[in-house]
Amino acid sequence: MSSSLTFDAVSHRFGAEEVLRDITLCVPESSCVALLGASGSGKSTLLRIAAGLLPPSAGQVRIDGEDVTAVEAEKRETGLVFQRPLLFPHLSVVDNVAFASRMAGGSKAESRRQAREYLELVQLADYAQRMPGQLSGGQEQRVALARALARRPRILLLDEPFSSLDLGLREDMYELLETIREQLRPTIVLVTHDRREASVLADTIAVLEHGEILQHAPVAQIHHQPASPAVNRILGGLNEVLGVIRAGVHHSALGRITVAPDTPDGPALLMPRQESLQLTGAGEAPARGTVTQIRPSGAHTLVRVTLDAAADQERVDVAVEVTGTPRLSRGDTTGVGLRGTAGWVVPL
Amino acid sequence: MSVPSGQRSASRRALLTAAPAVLLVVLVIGAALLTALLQSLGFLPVFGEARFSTEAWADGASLLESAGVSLYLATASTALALVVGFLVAAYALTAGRGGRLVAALSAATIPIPHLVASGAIGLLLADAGFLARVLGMPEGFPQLVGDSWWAAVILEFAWKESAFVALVVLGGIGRPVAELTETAATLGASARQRMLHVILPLARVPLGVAGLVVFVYTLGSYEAPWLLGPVAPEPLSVRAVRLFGSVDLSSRPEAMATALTSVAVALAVIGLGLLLTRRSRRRSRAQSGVSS
Ligand SMILES: Nc1ncnc2c1ncn2[C@@H]1O[C@H](COP(=O)(O)OP(=O)(O)OP(=O)(O)O)[C@@H](O)[C@H]1O
Ligand SMILES: [Mg+2]
Repeated sequence: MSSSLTFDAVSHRFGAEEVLRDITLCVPESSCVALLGASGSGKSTLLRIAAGLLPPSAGQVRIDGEDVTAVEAEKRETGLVFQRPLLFPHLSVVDNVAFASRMAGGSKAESRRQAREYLELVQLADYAQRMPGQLSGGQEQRVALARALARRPRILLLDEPFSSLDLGLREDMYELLETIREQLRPTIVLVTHDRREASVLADTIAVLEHGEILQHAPVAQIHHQPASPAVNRILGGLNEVLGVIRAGVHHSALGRITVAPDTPDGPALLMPRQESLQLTGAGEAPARGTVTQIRPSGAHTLVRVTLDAAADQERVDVAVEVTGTPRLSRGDTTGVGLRGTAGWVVPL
Repeated sequence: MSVPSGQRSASRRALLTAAPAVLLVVLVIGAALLTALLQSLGFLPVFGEARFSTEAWADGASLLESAGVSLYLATASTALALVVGFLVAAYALTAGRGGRLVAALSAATIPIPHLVASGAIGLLLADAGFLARVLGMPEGFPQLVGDSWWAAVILEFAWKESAFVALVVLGGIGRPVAELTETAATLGASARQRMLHVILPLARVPLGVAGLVVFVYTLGSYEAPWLLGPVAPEPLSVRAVRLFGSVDLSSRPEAMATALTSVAVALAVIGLGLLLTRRSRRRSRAQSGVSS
């Protein structure tokens, strides 16, 4: 029952403001793509276009290759869960979930029987008779999810559905979404501004900024091989080390780091994630520097180091994430090195 | 059930704050009703001696007939106004820019006085009116003004009051409903289903309130039936105004009896309306399984 979803050169403007520019994105059948972007980057607009609630100014939306741009929302077979649950206040929980089936002409009894199955899936079968006002926020959101699933959509669109939930509940919802993916295998587009959520739930991440897709790649790849400094920053990368490529080696204050052999010579930014760097003894390291800041965050500590630079090099600050608490204090000298051997650069 | 003392004193304070206003309203209305009652019973004659008499109430058949006409007019006008007003509100909520235009147009009719609106409807719908001439059928044009079905009167009331209904419904349900109808669309509900299964149930309370107000208003309003209705039979409002303005000052008690009948009908309908809303509220609470 799942299908592929394709945006083909979709643009949208509200009046003179261009909110989406030439978006081309493919979501394969049964996969989960996260749309990651800051507030106002156009994520919800793109989702509303996918659901048929908003006609795009230009471009096409395709489901299984078929152009559905002109198909109305009620005929499009997409399920949309908004940031807020938006349950129908005049219907009980079970009737909310049975809504789609009732609208499709199902009998009351049969629709409710189906609805109970979906309520069981989200573990709210005991709450079937309640009214929406008598649920907690997390329960309401689960009902909203069940209601969308009960339509058996070919594509499930989730617009920051968990952003209003507390951390514990959010973890529960991640589990639930895992279960749903295993049991129903829907195609999912998940909108979020939380890169951790995107990484936990999605197969691939598409980074959206100012209405444009900067990069769309599998989760690990987009973290370690960002296409631009902007993508690196949006995914939480803290390091950009300016240097020069000569014969497949990046020379900078961080030392000599091998990069992909086909990288052209010239200036380039090395972008090692803070998790990919490590502190070493000052003696043996290819790069040394002075600790300028130590910021503990629970099980990890972020250490900022200003690297010693040769006369012809830029001064460089790097951040290193260390497990536990390092025996260092500000002003200490430390070595810094890359875990593994190859680095990722973007030519300038 | 015991009420916490803090809550009790709070509600007492609320009662005290409201007391001056309530007192004033009760005094004014009470005095007016009492005067009307006394006058209808011959106690406060314009001239001559005060003397108890039920003469003003004697023509019961004619009073009843007038009450019947009034009820028919108010019921038909209210029903039509509710339907049209709800459709306008639903359209305004779901049809984007075009919908807002319709809502604005409909709201623009609210400040037009009923007298002017009645005149306009008369000019439009009369046998020799604008529509009959435009359609070029002075003969075959249905009689709408002064007909036994009071068509022009009901149309005038429904037109003016539907704008009021739409405004109350829009104010009462507003923006959240637009989001809920979008949700319903993504769940496969057609435009008609969204109106019947989402907007209508949510608009029930505002529709009920607006319906009561419109009903009571049309019951008491006399301009439209006076201008656009047949000469006889008269609704209560027209009868009361005619008798009250009559050169024969001795018909004053009868005018008061007519007005009081109108008040009684209105009170009965309000009571019935409140009973129904309370029952439907209790039923919806029972459905949701809350005990109170
Ligand atoms: N109906 C509208 N009319 C005009 N401008 C709009 C409308 N809806 C959204 N916009 C604008 O379009 C841009 C993108 O909005 P959108 O809701 O898609 O952002 P978003 O990425 O979902 O943000 P958030 O994370 O805050 O939900 C914003 O600048 C917003 O102001
Ligand atoms: Mg949004």
